[in-house]
Amino acid sequence: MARTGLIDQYLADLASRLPASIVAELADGLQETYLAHVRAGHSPADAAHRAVTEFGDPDVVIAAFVGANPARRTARTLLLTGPLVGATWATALIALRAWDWPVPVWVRVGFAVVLVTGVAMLSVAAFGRRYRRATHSAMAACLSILAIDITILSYLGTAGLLTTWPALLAAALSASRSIFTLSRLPTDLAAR
Amino acid sequence: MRAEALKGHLDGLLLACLEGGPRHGYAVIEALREATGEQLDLPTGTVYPALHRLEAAGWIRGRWSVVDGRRRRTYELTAKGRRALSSERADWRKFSAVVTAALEGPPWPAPA
Repeated sequence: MARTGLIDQYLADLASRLPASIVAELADGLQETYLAHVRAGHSPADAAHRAVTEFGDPDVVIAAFVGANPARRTARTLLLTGPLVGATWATALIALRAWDWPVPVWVRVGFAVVLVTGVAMLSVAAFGRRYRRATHSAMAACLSILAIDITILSYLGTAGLLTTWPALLAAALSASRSIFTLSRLPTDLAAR
Repeated sequence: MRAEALKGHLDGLLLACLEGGPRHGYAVIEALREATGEQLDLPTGTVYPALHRLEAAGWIRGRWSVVDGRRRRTYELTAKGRRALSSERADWRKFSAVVTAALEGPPWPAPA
């Protein structure tokens, strides 16, 4: 039985703020709810009204999906562990007198810009209320942080600077973070 | 029974609904409704994000199919989910035993 405009309107509201795969799943559930009410003897209009009411306010449903977004959890984990990794790297770089390294200023500035942008995007992903924006920000932030970790690990590794315990500890933390980030990417990508 | 108390155990309830075999979202909601004697009064649209959360935790696995021209996502328990359900059950038994003993035991003597 064809559903009514009320359900299409409800789904259109969700579709403007949630990924297509989630809306497809909700559309199936909503249609099943509608059909159950029709089978129970309600008119199509009444069944649609009951189905939409049972599903709940779209804002409430969307907020629940935003809270369950795996990309948001990834962002929160990275934000929470970031200060520890950052402090360890700061200790290591001071111990290694990083300001004396033959690294051009534009590279240093670029590195800082990528880092700050990554943290800003993580904050948007972790605390924003828009599902798609949270997912995209988390993805971009994950890639930025991966690039930072891989760059610094490669530089220290090739320059033979992984010799002090702060550098080894920082490298181990960065490597662990890279593994975590890579392991989260497929799940976070699926949430688009 | 207060619905809020049931909501606090939503994860365990959802896992229990999937213990008998794979179910799609609406079937999970129906099973939940039946299992709780229709006491769980929450917007059914919010059950789906809860299922997504369990899937992200690796406790359930979702698969797409097409039924009557509609895309349908069906969920099933993973081995990790079965372990989580066992743990939820054990915790609940311990918790309920403690509360039952405290609420239904003999009156406590008043301090002298």
